[in-house]
Amino acid sequence: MDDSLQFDSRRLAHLFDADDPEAVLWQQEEFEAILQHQLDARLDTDIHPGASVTSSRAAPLRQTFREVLCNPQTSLASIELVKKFSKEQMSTRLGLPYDVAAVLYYASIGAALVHMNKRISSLDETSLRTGFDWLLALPWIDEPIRELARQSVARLKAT
Amino acid sequence: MGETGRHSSEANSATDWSMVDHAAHFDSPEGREALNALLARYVPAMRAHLRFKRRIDQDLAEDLVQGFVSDKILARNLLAYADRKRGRFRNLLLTALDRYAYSALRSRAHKQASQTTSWDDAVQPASAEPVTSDVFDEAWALEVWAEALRRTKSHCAAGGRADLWGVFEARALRPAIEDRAPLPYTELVERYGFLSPVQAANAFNTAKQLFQRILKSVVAEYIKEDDEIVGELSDLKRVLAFSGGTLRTLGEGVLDS
Repeated sequence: MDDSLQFDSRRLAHLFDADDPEAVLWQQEEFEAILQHQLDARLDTDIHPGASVTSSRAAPLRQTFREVLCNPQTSLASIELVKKFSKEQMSTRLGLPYDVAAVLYYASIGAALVHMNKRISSLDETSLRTGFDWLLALPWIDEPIRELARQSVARLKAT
Repeated sequence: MGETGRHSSEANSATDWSMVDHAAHFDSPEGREALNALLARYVPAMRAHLRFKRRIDQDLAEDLVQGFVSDKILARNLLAYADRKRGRFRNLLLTALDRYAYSALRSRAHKQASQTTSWDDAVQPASAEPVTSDVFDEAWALEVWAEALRRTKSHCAAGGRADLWGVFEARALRPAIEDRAPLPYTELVERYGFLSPVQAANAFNTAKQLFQRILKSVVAEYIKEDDEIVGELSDLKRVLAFSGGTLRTLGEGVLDS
């Protein structure tokens, strides 16, 4: 190893703090890869029935996040699991990047709207529309999620 | 420590003096143990002081520190004559080390007239430049940090959790130490087989918490009181954050080449 390493001492010092707000793990350039990986992960990788909503007992945890969100044959219980999981991730600093968790959150609300014609959020229409518009403006979401957001906006307009 | 850490460092000096008092009686088992602990704590920083503050090359600095320990601390029991009224132990130690090094190098130069290495060439006499503890403190902070990292790495390896160390090293240590970009997420997954980003983040968090726990245990080996440990951890962080960012590593063996 080089004996004359240059220390970025401030970054080093962040390792001392458990809750240092500057200690960001993921970078924005990685959000696309992180979202794709999360969408392809099975629910039971990160969601454990004992810690989830009551309806989770009936939810097929072997599905991937993508299947739950984009498959019209999905179940409401699974969608609710994803919504709860993503909401939890939005409030924890060390986990999914906030933006990636927020994509999953709005996508789950959209999936319930589009596939089930159900409102699973207490957010009002304006807030939901703002959320879907934010999601559609992201350059790093893939086409199936983008299409889900478009359909969600259309469904909101129709109601 | 720097100015910001002065208060806590002064508090810690009481702990230093207690250890010094015990170590001065190194002919007893307890004294020997205290002396070993004292040397384990200060030798790396003394070495760093000669290398980085006095610009003495690595091998010579090593020889001088070993000679100082052998001639002054062991043979003449310097610790028994250390006067706590004269201030912080570490500053007294550095002043004594400087004088020893000055004398040793001058003697060496006289014996080898053709040799260019001399105290005057390499350093300023101790009397001309008061010993400051900045470099000592930086070296000390890095040594504590490096020891915690070495133990964290060993702990991960012993527990069969190379992924914990790997993600910690790839996402935090190497970017901080080597000023390189973090290992891309996709490569992280390929290397360690995380099933989801949450798993990767959890591994990082677990490794960071492990490091923090081990760091605290390292500090607890030379500071006994909980409130002083908290102060020392705070000082270590401040010293690192304001060290100027350029130090030769004392943590060799932490990162693989």
